[in-house]
Amino acid sequence: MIPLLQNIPQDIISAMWQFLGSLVLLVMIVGISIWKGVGMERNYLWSTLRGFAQILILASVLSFIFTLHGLLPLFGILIVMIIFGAQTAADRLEGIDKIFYVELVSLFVGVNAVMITMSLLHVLPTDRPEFWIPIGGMVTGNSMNISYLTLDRIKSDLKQRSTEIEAALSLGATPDQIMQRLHIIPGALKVGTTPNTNSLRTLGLVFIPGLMTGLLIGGTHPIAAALLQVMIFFLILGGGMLSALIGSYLVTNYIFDMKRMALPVKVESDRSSEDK
Amino acid sequence: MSAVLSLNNLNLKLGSDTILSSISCEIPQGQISVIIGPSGAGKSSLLKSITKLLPSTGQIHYNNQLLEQMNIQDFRKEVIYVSQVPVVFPGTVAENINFGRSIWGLDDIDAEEQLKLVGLPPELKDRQAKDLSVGQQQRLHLARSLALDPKVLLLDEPASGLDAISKEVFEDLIKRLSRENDDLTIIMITHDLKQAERMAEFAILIDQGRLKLAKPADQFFKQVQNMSEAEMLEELINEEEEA
Repeated sequence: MIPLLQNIPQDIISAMWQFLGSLVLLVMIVGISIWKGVGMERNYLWSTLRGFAQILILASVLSFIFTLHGLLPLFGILIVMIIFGAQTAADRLEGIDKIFYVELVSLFVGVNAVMITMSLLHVLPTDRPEFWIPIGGMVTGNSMNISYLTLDRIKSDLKQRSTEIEAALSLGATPDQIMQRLHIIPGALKVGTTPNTNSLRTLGLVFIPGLMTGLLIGGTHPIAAALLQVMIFFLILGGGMLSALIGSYLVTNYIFDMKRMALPVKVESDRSSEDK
Repeated sequence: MSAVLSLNNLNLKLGSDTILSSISCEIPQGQISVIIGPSGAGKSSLLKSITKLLPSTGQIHYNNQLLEQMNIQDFRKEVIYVSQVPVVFPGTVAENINFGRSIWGLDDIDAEEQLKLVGLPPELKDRQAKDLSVGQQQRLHLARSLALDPKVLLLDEPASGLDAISKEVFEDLIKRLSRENDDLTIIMITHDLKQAERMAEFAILIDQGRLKLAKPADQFFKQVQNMSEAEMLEELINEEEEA
């Protein structure tokens, strides 16, 4: 063996050879780009380099994180992930007042409720950070997506159904009653959770999710891997549903003008119709 | 005749645009008041401002009580705005009729009776509301509002989407409702002067967000006899400005 590689663990060396082998595909991708004049070869190479660097940094950080023990580092990392998740969702939901705080509070409550409950029930072992943290990341990321899709649907519903909402307000309905009676929150929750329920429905038939793949590669028995995968889906849906539900009710208070119990006046869009 | 609604210095600005400017008037109780004025005059904005669907400033008194001191939902249960575009909610006609009552936790009323009240066949009650014609939806919208037993109906051009015959039937319906309910005040918008003349007991002219004239109908229309609509508006506006 090359002397330099003597101190490197065997699994890293194996992965390195596999990685180098997969570079054949990168050569093929770049070759097709040049051959067909796609003009993306520099982009593909740069993205590969950047992604490779980012994931190596993550791997180094994870190596350190996985050595940490105790609840504080676990929940500390979870909160950092929640803050980034809330910011990402808020960036995509611009136009709603205080949307970052809505996302932050809803993800914080939704994700922590699931992670704490599952930890207390010993479903998630808190003494195994290499297990607990990635699952926390999966729950946070998916809750962010479910919450984003739900709130985005609410936002578009309020815009498109403003005459219906105005008619309900005119009868004395409160914003909360409107969100429920006009099926705005239930409809949005359905939209928010549909990608995950579709995945659950096609689980094993159309795709084998990343976690199960990882477990199988790591030598876990397929039945155990399958059970863990379904458990992860429950965690994801639970966290996502809770976050989206909390976000829906919080966002109602920021979208409606609660003093007048009315929709806010969007000066630019409503000017032509209101000015008569 | 006492005033059911008193508007005092009502103003509405949207962005840099002034939509309503210093509107003050008293709406007589139990009558049909008609608001007329050209398109863009601020008629709809005035009705929406009364129910706070638009953020106007100024004072609104309802039966001598300041609106700011009332619960806005309680006010909207008694003073109902009915939009120009008929709105139906998902569900059957009967569910639509009882929509407002269910919000208030009131028992359902007989949908068939309510349909008869607005001149719709009772057998429509189990139909999906979205399947009705525009004219039927407009009446259903009205029936839903009437199901809450309102004291004031704010009708925003209720017959605008209807043909001439349906318009006449709708006018008769409004007049009948007013006649049969002494407590019911109706304020309706139109830009059709002839319709205003047929309907109004009290008339209000608005142009460019300003109230130009508000008088009992006989006095109001005496001034505009033998004039075209355009001439009347111009004349009335000039008269008011000179004054």
